[in-house]
Amino acid sequence: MNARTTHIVYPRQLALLAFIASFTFKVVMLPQYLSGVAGRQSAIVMAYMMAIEIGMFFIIYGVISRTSLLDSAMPAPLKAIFVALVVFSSGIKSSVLIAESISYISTTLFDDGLWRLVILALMPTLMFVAYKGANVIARTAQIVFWVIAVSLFFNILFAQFKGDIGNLFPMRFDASVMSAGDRHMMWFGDFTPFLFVTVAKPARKQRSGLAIIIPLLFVLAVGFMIVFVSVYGGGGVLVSNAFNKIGIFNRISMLLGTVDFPTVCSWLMMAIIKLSVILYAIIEGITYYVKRRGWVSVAVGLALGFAIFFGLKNLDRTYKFATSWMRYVVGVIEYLLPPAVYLAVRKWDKDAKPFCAAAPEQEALEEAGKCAERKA
Amino acid sequence: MRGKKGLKIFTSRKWILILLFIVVLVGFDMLTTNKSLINRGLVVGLSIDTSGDRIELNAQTVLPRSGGSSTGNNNFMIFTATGETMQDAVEKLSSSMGVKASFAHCTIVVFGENMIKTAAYDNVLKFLVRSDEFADNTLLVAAATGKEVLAAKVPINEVAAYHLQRMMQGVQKEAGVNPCTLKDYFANYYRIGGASYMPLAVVEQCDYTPEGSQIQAQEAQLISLERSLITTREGYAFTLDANASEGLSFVKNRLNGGSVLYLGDCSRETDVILLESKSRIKVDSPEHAVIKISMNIRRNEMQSTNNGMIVNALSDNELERIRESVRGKVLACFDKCKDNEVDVFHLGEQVYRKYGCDWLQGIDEHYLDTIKLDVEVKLTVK
Repeated sequence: MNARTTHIVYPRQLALLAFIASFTFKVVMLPQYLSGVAGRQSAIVMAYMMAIEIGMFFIIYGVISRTSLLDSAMPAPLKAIFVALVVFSSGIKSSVLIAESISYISTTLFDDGLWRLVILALMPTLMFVAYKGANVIARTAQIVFWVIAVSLFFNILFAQFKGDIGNLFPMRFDASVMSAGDRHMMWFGDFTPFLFVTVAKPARKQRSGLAIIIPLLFVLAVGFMIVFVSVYGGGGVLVSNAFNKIGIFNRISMLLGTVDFPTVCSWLMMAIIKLSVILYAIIEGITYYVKRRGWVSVAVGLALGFAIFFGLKNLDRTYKFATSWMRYVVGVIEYLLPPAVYLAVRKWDKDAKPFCAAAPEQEALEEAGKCAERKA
Repeated sequence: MRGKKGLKIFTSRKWILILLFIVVLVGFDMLTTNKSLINRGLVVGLSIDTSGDRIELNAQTVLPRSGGSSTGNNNFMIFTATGETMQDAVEKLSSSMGVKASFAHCTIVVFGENMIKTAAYDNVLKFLVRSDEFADNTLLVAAATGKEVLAAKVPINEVAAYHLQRMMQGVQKEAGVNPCTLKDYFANYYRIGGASYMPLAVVEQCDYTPEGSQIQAQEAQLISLERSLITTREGYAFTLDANASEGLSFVKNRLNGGSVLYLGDCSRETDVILLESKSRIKVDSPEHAVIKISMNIRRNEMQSTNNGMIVNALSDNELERIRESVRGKVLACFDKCKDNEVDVFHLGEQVYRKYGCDWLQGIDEHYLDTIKLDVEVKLTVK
């Protein structure tokens, strides 16, 4: 039996992670970017890409409900190639998304744009959480979930919707939809890092919440885009940091000013979890080859920090990079790798059984002579 | 022995990591200027004018003393700065204030009429919507300069920016006032035709009698918002008179105040109070649109008697004249806009939403001439 437990998450935790991993970066700069290409059709682009992304999630779920990519019994060379591809695409995506987070934080919380200092604060945090493993990230997601949920709930509850739904019309699935989806595929396909986790069978039967969370994710992501287009119309192309601009607390700016802390902070928590998931994939993947997890974490943190420090100095440069030919490389990995892994797991892991939380816990409890009362 | 053991704990990896975090976070906090109120000048109203080829900003700024009252304890001052671009002018404004100009509390932006006629106007507005510092400000245009509006000596010695904020909150749903925020402006900007509107702020002289021992009337100023300015993507288009402005407000806004003048049965001018009004535009074909206005009104007359019966109703003739009055205002606005080839009702947008690109490809800038407009007014007397 594998002694590692850092890659084990429970179904309920996976549902929360899936929501955060997918939603976080679709509501910041992406609405503006999609508006720039597809205009009124941006909501259709979001719906189309989200439908594909959710399809990918179920393929990945088909893999990790049996085993993780790292624990798979597939031939070692094939596994090594798959792992390298995940590490590569996660590395590229993380540099783009970290640069976006830093821009969001430095423009919404600070005056002087000292973005390099934000890297100094953010990178050690991300590396530490990622180093601790997927189970720690999942537990963190569970802890902060209520803060995020309450913030989102109040955003919706008190929303003073002053938009024109007619801005979405005429609706048509034209070339601009495909063009916007193609150009911004770096912001989609967010579930690939989940290939490095495995879903445990809880000691007690529990509802995973996937049946609620996944449709909710789709509705919120598309709904946010509909609200964005309704409120800003064609002017969406000028509106950056959409999540902050749509935030309810901005509407009483006469009293509070435009710094919308509940929205900024809830997004920040989501961003840390999302980025930790990607960095976890990089660390876990490289550790597959190098075996020194601590040093790998430090090296990855430094490499990414320097890349953003000196390479992706501003959002324009990041956008250029994310929409360059590199998007096709990442896109191919994000969209074709999960089906390939699924087929490989179907072939070589026919007899794999999901990690059962009850078994080891039961043994430990019996050894300690305690009662078998346990929770998932 | 025990002490050595205690120290050894701090050489463990966990503690080194914790110390590293503390050093990074403390260093980060020391080096970063966060959004501190102490280093900020709170701008409550901003005017944007031209000064030669440059952009002139006037910021009505609160200089806090004690307490938080808007008028009681605080001083207000108008700071001025000019710059080549909006960013340049904002930076210079901070320099002239000696602290960072904070626009988080600014809700009113007043443009000078000349500014709207310059090529810089488009960039100025795009700066406002792009900037993370600005909220969804209400836009106004001054009949003269923006500074004149901000410097107006409004009654009760109130600060003009606060006075305008209060005015806009009070009258933004009244017939005749056409409020426009940054979001509204850009939503209109990207519609077919790109026409938008904003209230025209006119400073007028008046007298007022202050409280207390000084009972002598003093000179003061009032700000009127009963006319509107129409803009296109290029900037200034034309101004509407009060009648046409009222027509525009019936079509573009949901109203809950104001009155409608009409000719009563006794051949004298009278009015009804507007309780609620909403409108929608229906497009029957690319050549025909109908504006449907639905209004709740209340009679504004004393009851009269007729053959011993109390009469408190509007006659059919009067109702028709009210409809005619509203229809006339809307058509006055439409005709003026049609003459200037500005689609302020966004009829083209409505046709485009229904008929799509096929219609769009077949039109030119004179498309408004091909659309016939009817106005239907539905009245409910409360």
